[in-house]
Amino acid sequence: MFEDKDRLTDNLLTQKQLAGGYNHAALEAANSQLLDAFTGILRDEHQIQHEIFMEMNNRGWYQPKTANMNDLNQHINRWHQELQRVQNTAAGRVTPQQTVQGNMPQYNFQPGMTMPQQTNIPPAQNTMYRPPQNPMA
Amino acid sequence: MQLTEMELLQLGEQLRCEALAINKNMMYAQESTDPKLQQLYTKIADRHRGHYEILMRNAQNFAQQRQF
Repeated sequence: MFEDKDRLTDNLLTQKQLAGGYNHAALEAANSQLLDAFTGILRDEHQIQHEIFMEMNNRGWYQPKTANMNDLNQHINRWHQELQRVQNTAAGRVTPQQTVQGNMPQYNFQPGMTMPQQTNIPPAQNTMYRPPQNPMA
Repeated sequence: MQLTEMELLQLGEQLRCEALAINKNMMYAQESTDPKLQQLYTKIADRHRGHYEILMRNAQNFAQQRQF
């Protein structure tokens, strides 16, 4: 028997397909007007998806398992190390002349970036996660 | 700028998906016995209808540009 849980699940899957379609359509759009239409609708599809998800979640029909916090902290440490490794590799490629010309990427915090470089942190705290902070404040 | 073949293809594909979503949600609103969910299905159908209209308007804009 087809019940409301099935109807909502079907709706969630429909939303995934629609959103995927609009994402693809936006990536293929040559006209900026059409690009705006696709991305605008894509945003609304995400909102519909979220409303359906919340309805199911409130009814106990869809409750994703929460992540283990120890796993999360381990992952954050690893991601932080990876960022450091990438930055060190990139820094090794910068020659003094290129730096003066300013056409090489500068790995300093810019407004809007989520992971500021934290070179002034003592090594012991280097692997601790700090939320993005605005150095201008 | 004229409509590309790829854009025409994508418009058609999304219009088909939206039409199906409108249809399904109208049917679900009739089938469900839960008033809150009936309302939700109706609201979702309306939103998809809105998307359908936006896509159609865009297609019509391109068709009109071609005529003049």
